[in-house]
Amino acid sequence: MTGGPEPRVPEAWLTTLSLAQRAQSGDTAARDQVKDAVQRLSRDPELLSIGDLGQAVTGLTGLLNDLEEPEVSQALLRQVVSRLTAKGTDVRSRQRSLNRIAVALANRGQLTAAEQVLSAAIKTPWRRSDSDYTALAITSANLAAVELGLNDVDAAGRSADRAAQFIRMAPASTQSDGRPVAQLELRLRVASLKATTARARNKHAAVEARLDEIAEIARSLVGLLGGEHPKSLSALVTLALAECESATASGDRDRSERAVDVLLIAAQKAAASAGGRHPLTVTALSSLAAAEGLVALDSEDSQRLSRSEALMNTAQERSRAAAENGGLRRPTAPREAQVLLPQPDEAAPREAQVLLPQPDEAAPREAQVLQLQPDEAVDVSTLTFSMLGPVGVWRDGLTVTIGSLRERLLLATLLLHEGRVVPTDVLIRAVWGDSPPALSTALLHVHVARLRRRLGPNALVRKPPGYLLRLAPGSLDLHRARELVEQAGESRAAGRAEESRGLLNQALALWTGDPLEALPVPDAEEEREQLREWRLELLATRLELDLELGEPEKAIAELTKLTAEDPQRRRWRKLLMLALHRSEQQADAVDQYSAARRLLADALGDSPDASLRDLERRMREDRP
Amino acid sequence: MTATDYWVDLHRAGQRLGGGFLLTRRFVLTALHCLRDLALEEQVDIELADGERVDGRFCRQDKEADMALIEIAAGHRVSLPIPAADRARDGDRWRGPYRPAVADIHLSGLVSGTARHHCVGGATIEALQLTTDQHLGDYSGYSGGPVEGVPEGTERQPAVLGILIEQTPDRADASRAANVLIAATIGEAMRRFDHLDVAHLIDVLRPPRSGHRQQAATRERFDDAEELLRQLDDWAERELIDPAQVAELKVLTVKRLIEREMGGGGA
Repeated sequence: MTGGPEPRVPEAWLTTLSLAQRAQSGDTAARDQVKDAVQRLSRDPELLSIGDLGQAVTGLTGLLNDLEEPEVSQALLRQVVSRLTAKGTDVRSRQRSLNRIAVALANRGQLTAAEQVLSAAIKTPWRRSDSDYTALAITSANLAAVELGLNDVDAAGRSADRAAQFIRMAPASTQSDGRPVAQLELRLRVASLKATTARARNKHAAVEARLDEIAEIARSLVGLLGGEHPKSLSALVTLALAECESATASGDRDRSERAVDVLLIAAQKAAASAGGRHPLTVTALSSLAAAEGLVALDSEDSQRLSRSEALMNTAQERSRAAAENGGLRRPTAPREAQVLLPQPDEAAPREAQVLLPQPDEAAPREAQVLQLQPDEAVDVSTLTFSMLGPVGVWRDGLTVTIGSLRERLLLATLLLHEGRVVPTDVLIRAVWGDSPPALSTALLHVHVARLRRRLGPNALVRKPPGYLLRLAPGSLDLHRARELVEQAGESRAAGRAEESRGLLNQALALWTGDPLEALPVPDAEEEREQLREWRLELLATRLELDLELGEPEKAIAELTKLTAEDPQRRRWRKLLMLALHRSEQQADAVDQYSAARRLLADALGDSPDASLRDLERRMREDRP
Repeated sequence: MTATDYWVDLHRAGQRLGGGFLLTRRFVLTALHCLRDLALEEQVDIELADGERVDGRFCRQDKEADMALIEIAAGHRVSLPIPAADRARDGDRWRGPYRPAVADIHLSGLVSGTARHHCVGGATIEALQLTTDQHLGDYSGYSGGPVEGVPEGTERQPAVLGILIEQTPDRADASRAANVLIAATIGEAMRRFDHLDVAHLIDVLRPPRSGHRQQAATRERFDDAEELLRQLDDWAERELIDPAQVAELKVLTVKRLIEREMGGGGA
């Protein structure tokens, strides 16, 4: 860290961030002003003049996303990128700034936004100079990491190849430019990315060549820095995890166990030398957890998988403890995110070693097995799912146990998307909220793999930028409910009220509780509320049918209960009045109207609407 | 099974030698003086905390620092959880999950300092100075046992901080030990054994094949150029280019390759 006074935060940033934070806390006045404030900030000459632009942009876009203003968030991001990539901007500092923004976004799980920023960075004009090549190599490497996080293996492979090409294009003299360690770290990262993409594409010879390369780079680092240096240890962790992934993919149990052993030693060394809360230690622990998880899945060892989760929890606890003590910045692991920013100097290497979500580390096999083929026969017809109540799965009528809360959150999120691809970052947010752990992408894949084992390999597939839960027609209770409701509407329109009522009753019977009951899925509250409202609408329609079919008595008990539970819902009151009147309980019907009038006046300062007044008048005239 | 169950008892020919603990799944760390009657490579019986017995081999020693590594037999894979290590801080509470016998008490106390310590064996090591709550006067039998930090705040799992290796004499009474013990830090212990070196571990993962690997790396660097040269021959054969020009084109390709290798310019 360099010395000197804290950089001034421009007024526009202060105002906008303050408004967004207050809006997020529920301040409606601030909420109304946020959009305009962001637009003013976007036009402000000091937009780029904030010290940590990456953190500021990520923080503000995160708040805007929480306020459900994705377009405003995107517009801000586009403006920042546009200003950064404007002509005349120094290439190196441009790349550095864009990388910082992308890394900050990716660390918060906003992978899609990070990809956009990095893609823009790559496309901006550049000169053929040594430092440009290095900066571009770093950007390409970061882009590859994000693309892997979004499960776009082909794009990631191209980006990784591009990064390697840029490294080769940098003239040899600058590769040892006083910063051999930085260059070695960059090569290490690129080799690791290439190993991952090669593995995902079943290019085993290329994987082995990359692993050899990683080992040679690690040896070079040890030669330069010594074996006890954190960077040497970090290189060992990178190698060991890559080894474990390859070994698991090829079914070489001894090799994978060896890699796990080495990771355990590395984690112990890191903790013993740097401390248990150091980012290196958290990274090593997270890598160990991912490796244990891989081997556990491969050997179907549920105890070991539990150990893997326990290790990950330990890593998270230590990371949180470090953050709470105001010590080290909360890391995401180098494996998950090793951004190598273009360094103007070595004075702030720690600043530079920001971390970027790394790709699909934990389940390379998944890439081989589960690529979606358009014409592939899918045996998912035996599975049925429920979300109109507790989330559940059945195979041929038998319950499929989904014990882990994280797997249920995952399943719930996939079900909410009803057979559409769910991006990786959405799934990460669903499972871990706003504070995903280190290696969350890798751990997500572990959970996905577990869920896939329960559902069957064809049910849950990887499809960039995330995953897709295949639903056979009618397999989801929500879909069956919609179909029944549609049929009920057709029947009613054709004058078949009895049939319509029967269909609605079947639809209502599919509800077994509150939608996604007891699952704290972030961002699902709106959908949950819509489903609740829909159910009430269906119920109201069915009650109307009871009246239409001349069976008001059937409806009275239910309507009385509903009115008591939700006295401000006028539709219940109206139906109850009608039901009472039709069952010749006029006095009670009039009482209901009076009660409604009092309630509306007392609680809302309102009065019965026209339809309710009209009904009351017709009742008095005995013509409901 | 809890994280405290990683300590072990060491036996040989039915006799208890001392304590130790699982540093990794393959190695037990103990105080060397617990194995004073054993030679390197000799077999040691390891009794795990859950009562299981496995074979071990006395594989490494550091006489100056009084530490030793025992390797667990290859046929056995320990599935017990290994607690993560950490560095101790002055004032932290510590405890010793290992005790020589069921009738013995567990030790606990405060970390009163981390400093360079001159061992009885001659080495100067990074060590923890531990005061104990229990004034036993003699802490024999506890050597080799782990020193654990007591979890604080939201952390639930204890961390292993060191290995007990020495007691200090009571200045007032030489026949007794003071309630101050010395533990080598885990970091020191791991630095002492080449089995745990980063360089060694890299070789464990990817054994170096120096000659072959260098050749392979060299070959790979020229793959693109070689591919282009072969392609030129192919085009000439198919009469897509004038065979007379192939030689000149090949010279140009090689020239660009040399320039690149010598750092004479970008592609």
